[in-house]
Amino acid sequence: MNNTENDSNRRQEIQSSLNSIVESSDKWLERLRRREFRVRLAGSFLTGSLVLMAVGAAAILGFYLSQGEEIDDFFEQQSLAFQFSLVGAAAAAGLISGILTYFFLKRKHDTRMKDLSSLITEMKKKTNEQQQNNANVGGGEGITKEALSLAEKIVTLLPELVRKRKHDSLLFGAVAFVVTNVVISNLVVAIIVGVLVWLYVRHRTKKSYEHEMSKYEEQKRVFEQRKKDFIDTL
Amino acid sequence: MEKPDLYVVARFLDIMFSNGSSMKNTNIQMLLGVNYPRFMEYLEWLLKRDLVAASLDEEGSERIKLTPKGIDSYHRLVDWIKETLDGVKI
Repeated sequence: MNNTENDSNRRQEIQSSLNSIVESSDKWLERLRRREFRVRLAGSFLTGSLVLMAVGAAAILGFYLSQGEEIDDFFEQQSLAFQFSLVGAAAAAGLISGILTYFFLKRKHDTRMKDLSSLITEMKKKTNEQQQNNANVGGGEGITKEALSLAEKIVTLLPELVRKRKHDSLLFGAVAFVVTNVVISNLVVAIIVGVLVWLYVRHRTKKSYEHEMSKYEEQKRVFEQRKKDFIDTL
Repeated sequence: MEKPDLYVVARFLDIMFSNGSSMKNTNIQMLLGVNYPRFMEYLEWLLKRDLVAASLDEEGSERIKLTPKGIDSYHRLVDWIKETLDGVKI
């Protein structure tokens, strides 16, 4: 095999690694997006449910404080239309706050992902341009700077994500409480289910937390070290 | 230059690899996006380590080309980034 063939093979290998970098980055971003979508849904559902219950409770409490009568009397004394409008108002408030929470969280997540997303878009654009320019010859720009920057952002972001995941247990517990309360209308059972779910998720998260944190911190340290080593070995 | 910035070195190698053939200094400098004195510092650093080689074209202007050692280093850099990105799971 002569030098030209050797060189061409090596270039193909590099090009294939560069394409693979773009693919893995894309998959990574997709996984992150899916995870944040689940957190957004749970957060919105929880906020909506809490607002719904708070509005209903406030109306009943208001009636109790002004009339000094039992809750059962409230339902007996009010017309069906009034009761429906109260439930409707509470549901609307819950729905609106849930939607608002969703979009608020989406904006927050999108801001955090903006940098990663634009780096990947840039990498894809450059890779496509390169392929159109027939890879080996012709102009174009490489993607290693963006890929390096992306890798650095990812190794920095991972420990933060794991730290945030610690709070997810509370969120899941609260969602379990709300769902149980709505389905079986029993506050005590709902509290027990909520606490059990919270403890279970907390236990699972705690179990993996230490391991994952040390793994990601180590990954970050190795990345920084290899950055220094790479220059030294040139 | 005491300690070069890896990002600039990576971009330098990137430009040389992507363009395949030898390039004029000014073209590399423009794509690299650094000022000329800074570019010359990096060029000297890379020349000293045989990562790029300089030659004169028919018009007598200097042209820079990636050496086999430069391609190897670029290959290592790309593989390392790939390895890092493949290794991260959420």
